[in-house]
Amino acid sequence: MRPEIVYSPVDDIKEAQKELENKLKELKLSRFEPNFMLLFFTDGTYKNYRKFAELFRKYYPDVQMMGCFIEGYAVEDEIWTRGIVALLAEFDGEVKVFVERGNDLKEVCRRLGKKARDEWDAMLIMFPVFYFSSVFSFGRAMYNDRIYSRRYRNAKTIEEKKEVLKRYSNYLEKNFIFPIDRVLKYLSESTGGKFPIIGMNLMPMEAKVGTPVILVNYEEVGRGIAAICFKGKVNAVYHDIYPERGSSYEETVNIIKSYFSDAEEVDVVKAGIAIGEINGKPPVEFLRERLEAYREMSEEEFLKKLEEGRFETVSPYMLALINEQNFSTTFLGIVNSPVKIFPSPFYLDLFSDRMFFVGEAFRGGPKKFIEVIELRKFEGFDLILLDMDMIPAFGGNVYKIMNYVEGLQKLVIFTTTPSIYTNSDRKLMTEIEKNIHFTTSGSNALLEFEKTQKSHKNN
Amino acid sequence: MLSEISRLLKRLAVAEGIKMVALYRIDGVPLCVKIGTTVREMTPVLYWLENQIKEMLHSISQQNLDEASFKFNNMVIMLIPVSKTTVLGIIAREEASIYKLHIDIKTTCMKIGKLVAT
Repeated sequence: MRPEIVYSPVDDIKEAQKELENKLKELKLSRFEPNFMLLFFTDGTYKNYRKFAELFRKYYPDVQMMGCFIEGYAVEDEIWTRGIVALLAEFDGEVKVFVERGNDLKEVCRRLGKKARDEWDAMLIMFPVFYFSSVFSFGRAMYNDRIYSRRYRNAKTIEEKKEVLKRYSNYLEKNFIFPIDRVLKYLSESTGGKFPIIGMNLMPMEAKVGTPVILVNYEEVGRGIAAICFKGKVNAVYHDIYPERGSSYEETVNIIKSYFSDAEEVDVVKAGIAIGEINGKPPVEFLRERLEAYREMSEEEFLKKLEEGRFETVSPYMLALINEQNFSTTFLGIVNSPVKIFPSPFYLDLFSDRMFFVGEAFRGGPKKFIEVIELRKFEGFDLILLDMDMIPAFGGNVYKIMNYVEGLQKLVIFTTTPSIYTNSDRKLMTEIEKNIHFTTSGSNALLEFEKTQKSHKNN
Repeated sequence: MLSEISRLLKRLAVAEGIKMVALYRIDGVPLCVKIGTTVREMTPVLYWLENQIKEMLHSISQQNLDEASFKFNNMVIMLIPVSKTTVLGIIAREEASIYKLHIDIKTTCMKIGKLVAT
């Protein structure tokens, strides 16, 4: 594969366009003809995504293209959280992009699988975990949260409460949430489960109406799933920053307790993708009681923050959920917001009602996140997807990762924690179901392409 | 060199929430300044902050600090050494994404550092 990275770390559209256009002209002159492109926008450029997409379309109208919103990127020895970056590549194999839209997740995955079929070596998908098309849809979600929370409070038994949560969960899934585990499960089933699928389950660090933006062949996806499939010398791997899971429930509990020294055991009422209460209190109220720094957020304040793109979706406080079947654990950040019933980006039914409330702890620092590169098989080009939580957790110290990727031909992307469907013989803490791995904190992935004759000639 | 530094500072200054980016000599003399808002808005602020900034630059130099920052009204003022004799100063609105800004500042410092070292 011959990769070329085109980037401009500038938010100013005119300057960025000028800089990108110069680079694209140079590439055209060098007779570089990519067959795929991944385009990434940051906070400062995503509002102009149409203009940038048109610029790239002018030079490469027929390339297989996919793009989305990210939090930052590293190119050569620089890390930026502004501007725009694109990976263009002449891949020595087959590459094709597919997209399906809709509200019924199972049906979307079935149609996507039918189109893509099972003849690939790796697939990278992008989909919005939460998607609100307008302020009105946010308002509707808030209204329904009130209605269902009232029904929940009026329910007398745990069974009745769970029934309310199940109904609310169906409503959330049909309208706003694509649960990560279900996406991987349905899609791997519909594509035969023979190759790895990396999920970029997108959720911007600072949410805004209409985000996350996903593009396929220069067109916006909205609520749907986009996939780029590769057949050739390509490898997809996943790694999480946690110790291996235990061989029994108790062993995993002990691992969690020793990793998070402040772990507090809590009882949770949950069903589907909704949490009704933690230790008898609405989840956000429970969070605020533990942490006085969080004051109550009114609905107006919440909507205003969303309109301005200042609603933070990352939280240093989370629930550690233990799966009683395979003793794995995943993590769910509890975010300060005015919701009464807390929505989850994955199904909660596999997990024990007894959980741990923990404060985020990243043992080993930034190095732990970049450990994913130790799983490389090829000498070639690496697309490294790192957990965006690193940015608030380490700030400028994120730079420490650069010591470990020095000399590699790579593009590092800081984005929502990636997920994966893959065969793994490791006992990863976040392998929740057989071959399905995900968490909302501490996972990283790598899509690597082997260097070929073509890239030797050009690099 | 100065035009390249000016270009790098301008890149930071155009971001949302940034009011001013400046490269200071360690004795407090600004070498290059880029304003992300109106000059009229920044002039009184800089007048008020002149002595504080000089004092902090002195502390950075004397105590080998990696960074010094303080808040003033609804603004955050950050001073980060680029080399032995130069310091990057940033004035940003309090609500600007400071975590992300830290990363971009570090990259900018690294690039300016390479320029002033050559």
